[in-house]
Amino acid sequence: MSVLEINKLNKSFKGKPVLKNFSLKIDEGEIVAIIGQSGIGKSTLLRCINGLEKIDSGEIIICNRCLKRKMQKDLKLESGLIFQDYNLFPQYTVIQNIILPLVVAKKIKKKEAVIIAKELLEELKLEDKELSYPYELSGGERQRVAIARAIAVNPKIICFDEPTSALDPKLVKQVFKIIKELANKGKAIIIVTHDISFGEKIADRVIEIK
Amino acid sequence: MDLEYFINLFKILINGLKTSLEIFGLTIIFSIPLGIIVSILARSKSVLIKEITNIYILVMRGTPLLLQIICVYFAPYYILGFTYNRFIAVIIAFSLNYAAYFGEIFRGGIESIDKGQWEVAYTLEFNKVQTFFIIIFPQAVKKILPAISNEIITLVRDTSLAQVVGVTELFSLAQKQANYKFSIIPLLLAGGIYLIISTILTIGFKKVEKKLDYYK
Ligand SMILES: Nc1ncnc2c1ncn2[C@@H]1O[C@H](COP(=O)(O)OP(=O)(O)OP(=O)(O)O)[C@@H](O)[C@H]1O
Ligand SMILES: [Mg+2]
Repeated sequence: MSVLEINKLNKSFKGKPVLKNFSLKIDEGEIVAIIGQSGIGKSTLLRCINGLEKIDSGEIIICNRCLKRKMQKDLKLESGLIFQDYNLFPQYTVIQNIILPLVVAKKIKKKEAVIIAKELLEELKLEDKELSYPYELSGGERQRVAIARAIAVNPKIICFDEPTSALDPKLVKQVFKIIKELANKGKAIIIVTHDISFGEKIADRVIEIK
Repeated sequence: MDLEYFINLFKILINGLKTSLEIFGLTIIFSIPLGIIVSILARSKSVLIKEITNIYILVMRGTPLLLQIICVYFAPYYILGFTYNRFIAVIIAFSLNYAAYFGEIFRGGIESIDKGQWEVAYTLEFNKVQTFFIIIFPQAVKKILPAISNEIITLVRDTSLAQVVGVTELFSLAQKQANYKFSIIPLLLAGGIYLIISTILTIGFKKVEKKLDYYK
């Protein structure tokens, strides 16, 4: 079943077209890599899917529900985005970063949120960083916290913007594994990357934006 | 110069100090929340709201507080023919004036926070109010604390302006005593009291800054 369907998406900035009639369909458990030159609109695509940009025309259908020009409120949590610079909340600890969206947006009780967060921290090998602040973490650890925070709210689609650009080869392998596992659990995954070989290795399909 | 004189003088000044501290405390209580509102309005999407707020900030910062106090107290009399409590007028004038300064400081702080923080909160389905108060504002406060502390210490000294509409606060009482006794001692004593309060506040703010130093 396709979780995400993009039909003839057009997006321009100040009259300058960036995405032109872009279409894409992704099923549960599928990994799609998006490649393309710098400035071609890869990040913009992810931002459109996550409601951070208004689209000019076309449609984005998430879980069979159409996202028109503006993001509907209850669709936001169906799709998660891991930003290139992660955007962790600096004033909160690792575990608070993960708990906050659960408590604030999903209205889950704090006790349950803690259980969910601890499980994720263990899965992502962050259990000893629970009480650290983002500035105390390495780049790889920060990324894993961002991943934990995004998947805690249980989205069906997970978007990664340049997940490997700041990582050394060992960490690339680690995030490779994490992404694969997410796909195995049925998440639809979109990875924007410069690293064509990484894209080809990890993805079921590689799509180039031209 | 005997001890008794000092004790008496001190008692008189303490009375004035009470009023000064009331002005100080009430101004902070009203102007900080107002300042938050001003900072939000100053960033409004509506050009009209934004411009009105900017004009308000300009007038408040561009004219003497002394004049503002006089206007707030006397304007109702000249326009509508009624007078009201001087102390209330002072609190209104101070709150409106300081709200403009705080608003401008808050706006600067809010705008210095990375746009990515708003965006990630948006994708995690925080609404704007939640994003502002849970994510953005706490980070802004850390950045603007030195500026806020400056403003608050200025307020300590500014309370002496209340005497312009006849509110007897610390400094006006000291002046009266100085004239009455033909002595500079009451004024120096009052100066010492302002200094002590400012020192306490400075130390307090340093402590808060240290406390907020737990993250970068
Ligand atoms: N808010 C904006 N206002 C105006 N132009 C924008 C805006 N955001 C992006 N653009 C432009 O849109 C184009 C696509 O940007 P985008 O960030 O999507 O590129 P990208 O493919 O992710 O590039 P990179 O590989 O360098 O990250 C660029 O030309 C960029 O300058
Ligand atoms: Mg990009």
